[in-house]
Amino acid sequence: MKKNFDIPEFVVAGHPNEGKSSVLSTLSEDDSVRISPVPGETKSCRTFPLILDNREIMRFVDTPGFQNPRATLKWMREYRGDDRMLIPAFLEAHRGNPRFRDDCELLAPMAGASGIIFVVDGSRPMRNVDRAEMEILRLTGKPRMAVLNCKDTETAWLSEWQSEFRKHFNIIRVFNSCRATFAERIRLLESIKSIDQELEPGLSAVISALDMDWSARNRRTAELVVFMLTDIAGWKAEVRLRDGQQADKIREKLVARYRSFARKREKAAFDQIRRLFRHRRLDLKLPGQEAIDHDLFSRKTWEFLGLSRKQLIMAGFAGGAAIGAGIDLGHGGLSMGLFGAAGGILGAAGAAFRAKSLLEGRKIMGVRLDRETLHAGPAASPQLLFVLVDRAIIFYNCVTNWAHGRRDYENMEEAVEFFKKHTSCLTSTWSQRQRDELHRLYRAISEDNVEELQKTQARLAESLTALLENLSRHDARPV
Amino acid sequence: MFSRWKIEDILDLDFFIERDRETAAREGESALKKRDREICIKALGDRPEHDPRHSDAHFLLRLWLFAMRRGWQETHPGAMLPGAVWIETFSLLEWLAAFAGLFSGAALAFSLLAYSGTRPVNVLLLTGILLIPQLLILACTLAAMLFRRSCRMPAALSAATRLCMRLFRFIARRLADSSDLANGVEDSFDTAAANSSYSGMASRLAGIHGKIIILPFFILIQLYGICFNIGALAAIILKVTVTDVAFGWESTLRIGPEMLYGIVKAVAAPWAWFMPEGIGMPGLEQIAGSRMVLKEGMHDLATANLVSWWPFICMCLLFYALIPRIVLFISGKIMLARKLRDFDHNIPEFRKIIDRMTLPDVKTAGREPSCHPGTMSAASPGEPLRNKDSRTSLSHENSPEGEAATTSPAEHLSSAPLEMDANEPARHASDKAEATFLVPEEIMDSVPEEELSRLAARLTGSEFFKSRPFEPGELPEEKETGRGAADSGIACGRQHQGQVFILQEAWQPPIEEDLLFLEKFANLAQKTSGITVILVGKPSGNRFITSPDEQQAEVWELRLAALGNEGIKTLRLESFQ
Ligand SMILES: Nc1nc2c(ncn2[C@@H]2O[C@H](COP(=O)(O)OP(=O)(O)OP(=O)(O)O)[C@@H](O)[C@H]2O)c(=O)[nH]1
Ligand SMILES: [Mg+2]
Repeated sequence: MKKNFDIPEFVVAGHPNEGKSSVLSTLSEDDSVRISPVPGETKSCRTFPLILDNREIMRFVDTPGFQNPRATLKWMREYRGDDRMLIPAFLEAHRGNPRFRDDCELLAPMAGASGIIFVVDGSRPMRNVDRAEMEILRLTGKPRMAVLNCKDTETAWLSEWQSEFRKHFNIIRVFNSCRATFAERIRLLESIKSIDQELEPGLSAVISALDMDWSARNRRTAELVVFMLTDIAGWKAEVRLRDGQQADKIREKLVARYRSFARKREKAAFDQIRRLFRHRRLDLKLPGQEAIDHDLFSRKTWEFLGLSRKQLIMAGFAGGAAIGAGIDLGHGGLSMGLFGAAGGILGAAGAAFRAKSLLEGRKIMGVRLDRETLHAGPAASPQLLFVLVDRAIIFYNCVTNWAHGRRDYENMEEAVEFFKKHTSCLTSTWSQRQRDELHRLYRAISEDNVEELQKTQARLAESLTALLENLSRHDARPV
Repeated sequence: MFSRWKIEDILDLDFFIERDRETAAREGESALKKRDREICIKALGDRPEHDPRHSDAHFLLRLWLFAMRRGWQETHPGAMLPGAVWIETFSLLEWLAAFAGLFSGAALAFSLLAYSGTRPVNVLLLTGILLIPQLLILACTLAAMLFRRSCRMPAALSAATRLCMRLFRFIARRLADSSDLANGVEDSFDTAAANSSYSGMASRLAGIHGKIIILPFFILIQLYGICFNIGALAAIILKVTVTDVAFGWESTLRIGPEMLYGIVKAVAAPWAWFMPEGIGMPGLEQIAGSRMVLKEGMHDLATANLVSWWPFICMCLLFYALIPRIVLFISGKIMLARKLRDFDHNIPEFRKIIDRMTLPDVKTAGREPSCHPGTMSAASPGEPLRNKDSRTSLSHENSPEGEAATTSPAEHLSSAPLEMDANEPARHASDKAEATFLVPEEIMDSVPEEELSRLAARLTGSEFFKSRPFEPGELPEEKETGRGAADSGIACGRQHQGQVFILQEAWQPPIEEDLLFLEKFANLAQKTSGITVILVGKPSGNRFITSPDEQQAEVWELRLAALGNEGIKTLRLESFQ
């Protein structure tokens, strides 16, 4: 690892409560950053390194806000020393002064910084303190970039900010810390690249790594969704029916069990997706789980000594050997020492065809040898898959659009409602070909066709990946 | 590095994937990511993406497997991996199959060739028993193979494949590390649910690999068949060589020698081209001469006819049993090789591994707060507020005026002018004490006069007011000697007898500088009635004086209250609207 001072460092500075910590939280997908509506939340610097394969490429530093911008500027203007020693001199002069604690804390990392990012809430008017702060940053002599983080939709002052920024900053970017998407995060990093040429190779590598990582997350999400679909739609259970038990009641119980499984399974998949996108605090619940309460296929079967009617016939045919050994006919298992097998074929088969009538209710020492079983599952209609996919897409959209710096968790339901209405790639808009993929998956599940299942899973995961990529990289941002 | 996949590799892959699943549940995916990325970097250098092998999935998977094995050997010295178990078990099985084949073939042939000298060995019985079951089974095998190819087997039928995988997993677990796999992952639902999908995947993996795993057993059976026939052949040749065996045939049915000759000739067709009649098969007279008729006894039969049968029997075994078995054996080997060559790495499990290896490990999360040297000594200015746990006090929104008054001194003070306003407007008007508004210089021009006069009317009952600009940062003592001092709001505050109101935009966070200014200013104005800070909101439309945001106003009130200065009162503008 490189030595500390070799690593380019960008200091994020600004007035208190403008969203410095929010911007960094979103940019670094770190929802553990302390953010609060009370100004002065950040008391000491926190670094946000960009680490690529254990190599630290660059880092951002979150700082407290200016507490005495006018006084600081005044001091700096009166300073008559070596320009390069401005910050150390300021720190020296104000060390131990509690009034200037925050100002020292925020100026200290600037001495060695490669650049400064000034964060401002563009939805408010500009005041003299802001001008003073910009001037202070100018006096540091570092490359500067301005980030307009508009806290609300008010745009009346935006142009004033921008024209003022043009005088002070090399680069100006609008970056909303509560709504920034992946693409916007990348664009912000891209523009940092142009601040300092030396940063370019390292930062390019980070950006491409982030890009690949994002694609991998989408692919993983698609896979998780497909597995969830398979598990929920393919759920099966068997219950042995005892004498006098009503199949209907048991069936109801099984359906209830199935539904609770489906809900839990969906939640588990959603949790995995949420963690994939590094949300640890966002407890996003998609309402309307009853939509996935679907019905199950069910049927009754009859077995004697654990063998179904079909198996009884097979057993007669194969003399009991092949099945006991669990070796397929198809693999020549029978050729193993079964010289005498042929003899039993005819007799056993005859008996087995009439097996049920002959064997039903047989008991040995009071134990009934045959039994009836209720089988439930898989899901009774492919519609379920469509509902599940839609829900997963909505969930994905909520998770990827909930910036890590966003803390108004109480508004989550509203956001979910929004995405329910405004998600563009839901199954209702799918082409026939895409729908067929879901139908095919359903068929493979209900026929229990492993090979086909694998194929359809892979295909579906692929098209879902493409869909998610499209959704997260190109879809218009919500309001 | 090897060039081809082997069964043991696949078993080990499966084993490690299974283990990783447990590791991931215990330590999280990031542990796996770190490990696998390191494997990749170690082999391909710091910039693995520049290596052409970086995009070779097979190579990467092998690389991974080798590294995992190495790691395994380090952490579990002496423990066997499923692959090694497989190699040992399978070679043992091969030997067993070979010996069992040789032995059973020879034993069967010997028992059938038991010749006491009184009755010749019955050729039809001998070939029948030796060949017909084998031919039947062979036909079954071929039919099954064709059936398999033409229509896909439903999953339920390939239970054997799963059985094999499960068996090996079981053995591997037992042998490998009963200790560290057994101390289980806690059974939270999360893992259970994840596992339910994994169990689906595991059986799928077994399905994929199972198809490969089953082939060795097929080959094993062919090996048994080969050895069985070799044993039988060897037994016949040995018996014929060292003893005098007579072969004859008999039948209750009316089968004449001609008919049997026809059958024998047809059967012997495959080798007739190099072993003509008399050598590879008995001729018509020899057949006629070796017919046993019960009541006639054996004495009339000529020795030459009686021994003419054995080469035919041998050739039958060779061509109808041994060679097909060898063909199946070889084709089994070829199928296995092909399956291994086409070994599919494009399944989610493998892709996950490859992703972990090839995708750069990029971390962006923040480090725990670090201190820059030399600045941490002083106490922070916001401390008093923080000590009161500002967030809880802020969280109860819209607290009614009266209730808040008991908790916040600022609120308490701020309600004073309100009451006066409501009850005794006349008193203020008669006082003729004009209100003074101190407005920050920078917004002085944007505040319309009539808004101020309306505000004055509501605050004091009189529309008369004075307004003075001030520059918040500039502290009284600094400005005192300045030229414009007399004109400035500071001076105003000091001299004025009436109420002094300071307009403060509440959306600006209260910074140290502003608070200090207000405090000093309040001290100056103490001898009069102190100052009242009016908290206003953001300008909206053409209105400048608006009500402030609830939360922001509360922050101001708390911060001002924390100054503990009697001379500062606060007033939320919302109270008037
Ligand atoms: N609506 C909205 N609120 C925002 C946005 N950015 C920040 N905020 C809010 O603004 C408040 C302050 O955000 P912080 O990130 O803590 O600001 P800061 O600059 O780090 O503040 P200090 O650490 O106190 O200097 C928080 O309540 C945020 O939720 C935004 O883009 N939109
Ligand atoms: Mg902060």
